[in-house]
Amino acid sequence: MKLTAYYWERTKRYRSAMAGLEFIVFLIILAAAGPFFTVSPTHVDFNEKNMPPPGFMLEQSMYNASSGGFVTTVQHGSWAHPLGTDGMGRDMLAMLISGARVSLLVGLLATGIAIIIGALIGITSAYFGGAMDSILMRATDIFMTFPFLLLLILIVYLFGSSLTLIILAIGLTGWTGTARLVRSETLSLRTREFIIASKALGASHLRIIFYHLLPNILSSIIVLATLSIPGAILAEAALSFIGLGDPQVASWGNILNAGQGSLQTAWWVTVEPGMMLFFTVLAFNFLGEGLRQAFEPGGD
Amino acid sequence: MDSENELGTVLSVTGLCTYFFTKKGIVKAVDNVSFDVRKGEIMCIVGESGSGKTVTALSLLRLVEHPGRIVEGKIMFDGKNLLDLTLREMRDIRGKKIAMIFQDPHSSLDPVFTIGEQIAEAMTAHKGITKGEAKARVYELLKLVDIPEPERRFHEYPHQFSGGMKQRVMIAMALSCKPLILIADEPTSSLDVTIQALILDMFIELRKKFNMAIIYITHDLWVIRYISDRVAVMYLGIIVESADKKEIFENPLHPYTQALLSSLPGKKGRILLKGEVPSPVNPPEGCRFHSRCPKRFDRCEKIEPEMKEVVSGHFVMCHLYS
Amino acid sequence: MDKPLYEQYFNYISSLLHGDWGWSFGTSMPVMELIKTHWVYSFQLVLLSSIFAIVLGISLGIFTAVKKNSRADHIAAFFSFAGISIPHFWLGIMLILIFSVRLGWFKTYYDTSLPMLSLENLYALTLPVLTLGTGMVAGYSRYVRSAMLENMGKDFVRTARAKGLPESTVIGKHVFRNAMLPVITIIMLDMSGIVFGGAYITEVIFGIPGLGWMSLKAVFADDYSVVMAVTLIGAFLTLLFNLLADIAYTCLDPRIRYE
Repeated sequence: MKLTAYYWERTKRYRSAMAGLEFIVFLIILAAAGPFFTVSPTHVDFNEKNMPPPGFMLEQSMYNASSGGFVTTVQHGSWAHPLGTDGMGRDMLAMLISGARVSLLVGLLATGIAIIIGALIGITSAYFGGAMDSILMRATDIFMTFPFLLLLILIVYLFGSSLTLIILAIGLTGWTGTARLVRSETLSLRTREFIIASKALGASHLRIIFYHLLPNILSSIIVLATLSIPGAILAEAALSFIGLGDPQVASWGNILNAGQGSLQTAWWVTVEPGMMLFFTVLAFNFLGEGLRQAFEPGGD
Repeated sequence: MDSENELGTVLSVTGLCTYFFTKKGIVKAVDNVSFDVRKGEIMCIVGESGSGKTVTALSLLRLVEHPGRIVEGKIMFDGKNLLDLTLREMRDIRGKKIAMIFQDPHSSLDPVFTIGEQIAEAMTAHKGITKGEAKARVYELLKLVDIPEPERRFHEYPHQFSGGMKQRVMIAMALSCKPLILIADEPTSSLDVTIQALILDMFIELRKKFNMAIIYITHDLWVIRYISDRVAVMYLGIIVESADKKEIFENPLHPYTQALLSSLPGKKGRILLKGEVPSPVNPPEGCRFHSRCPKRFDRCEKIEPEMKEVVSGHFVMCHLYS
Repeated sequence: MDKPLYEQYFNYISSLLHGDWGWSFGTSMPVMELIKTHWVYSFQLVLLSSIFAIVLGISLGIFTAVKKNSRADHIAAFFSFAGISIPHFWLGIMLILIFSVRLGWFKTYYDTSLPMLSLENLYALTLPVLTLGTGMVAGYSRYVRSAMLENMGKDFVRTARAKGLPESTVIGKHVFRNAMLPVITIIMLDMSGIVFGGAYITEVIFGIPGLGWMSLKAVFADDYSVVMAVTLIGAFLTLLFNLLADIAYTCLDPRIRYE
């Protein structure tokens, strides 16, 4: 644990990394606690459609139920909807919080799946070598050569677009980088004295892998995982943005997709989720970069 | 010996200080170093690794890189102080009047350009000659350094050359503009012993042919005995003793020089130094060598000795002789 | 369809090789014809974005490497981080919001009636190229910067300085040429990801009828043969760019050429 404290001290020196971490913590709190304080993100009210954030106003034609016709009214922002509403009168703040849950879920779960698969393949490949290594790395190469987004689109096209499936798809396609990293790190460790020594002492393969190999490559894996999360988040957002996301959930990509149509009138519907996406990705990138530098030997 | 004739000074260094400004403190890699180089002589600078001999060599051409900086001193060459020149003027000195050869020939050549182009580069930069003229000159130079088939070798890349051959290419490159001074920073230490001797012979021969001075940096006493005219001994960033080769080998004055020379085979009474070389961040007060000196006395710990000419042409920095 | 699976697969591959890519039911025309009319839109977008990103990315990379740790370097580092992190589909929408909706400088949709080789077309592609190119510029400038810095510390650079070469030659010739080796490989290997990632979505945002736009329409229309064809093109292009990367590396690095 002393080592953890040491790396923590070193990471703390990178201001951008700490800002990133603070934003991520804030986002997690928001995603966890937010739904208790906001209205339902799926609550539709056409009387409050395209309501701007407080301080802005919008002139638009609204359907008037009593007269049965359309009248032009001026829509003012209200503190009931601090970030405004979208074209169906849904509360933007509630939707953004729901989007944060989706993005974090996708980012963490998909990356987790990818890291586990990648680590398994990488370690197996390097540790056993020979034909096993050739076959696995050839497979990784083939997998790597394929455009990531196209593969996701194909999977969603073939199997439908539920959030679970999207997370699985991103995880199952995103492991190649981890596999290569873990393989090369394991290869360089495999011939080191302490591994050879424990082999000579008759330690089992599993013991060597879990007690000696993994702890030594953990720092590289942590950095790679942190830097992979933005990719997973962006993949889900891109899919949702082009209309192939899970229509059941309010994700940032979905909101952007819906808001694109009302760009002329309700700018906030596209600006807000995009901002959230941008800052989230930036935060993970900053944190990952800071961790990378902190773990780098001789960075003093 | 050549150097005993009064041949005139071609380069004069006084009070050179090159410091490295690191996070851990100021490393005084070269601290108040003075020496002269005479026309056509081979002057050796000898010292352990970390003694500042390479930094001294790099300082002469102002090639010290960040965080290192020349903070003080004078390097007089051709009536000018090199430290006062603009970078533009300095470029006219580098490669043209003072050339340099580095320690590791494998990494000192650019892997993606042909040997011929790399040798020709200095000439086209300095003399404004055409590529055709340069090519003919490169053939000559390659012959001069005993590289066979220069017409074919011209178009080859560094990885197709052996270590010794690469160092010959470096020498050809350094000679291309007929410099007055050649600085060679341990040019043979990464080569096989058999090739070392060949290269050293080449230096001796070329020195005569071009009538140039050579500043030869080494830690190898054998090499010094083989090629030098004059020797300067460095320890922890300062020159502690300098004299003609004969004088140094027969009558070493400084305890450090004595210890160094006692390690030569065939010498009796080897002097073993205690301890490690102290850190150049906080060099010992007084005489820098006192912490390891077998002959130290009280004064050594407090007062830094001054350079003194004990015998004509034999300088030493030690309280034993003041 | 009642034939064994391997036979169906064999027939499918052999008809692909004969130029028969199937029939698009969504548009009632052969898939081959569809691709022939649409590929050029993707090509012009990717080509222009690549030129933009390579020129700007390499210049920025060299500049920040030479001015390492200066104020300009830190600012550039921040912007390249932002450039990498900004979702390009959102960037595209924001560009439309600002420059098309608010300022009215551009149309909100790409005009396909413009002749391909005209200044008007080039102007119309400004926002799409910015959308696709920004992330590329950010990425390339970082690759170039780190490759330049790695080579600046090499011994042969010191040799070049000791020869008395001007700093522009030292950096522009010796450092740059060596730094380009890994950079060109990375740029090539990234390319198929750009065609079927960034360009795909950029086409959707601006309504540019390229392969991405076409294949997304096919996905929604359940036009099976078109989706398969685009996927195959993706695989093919990836292999092609891998090959090109190898060829480029061999041409630039003499150490490989002679082995």
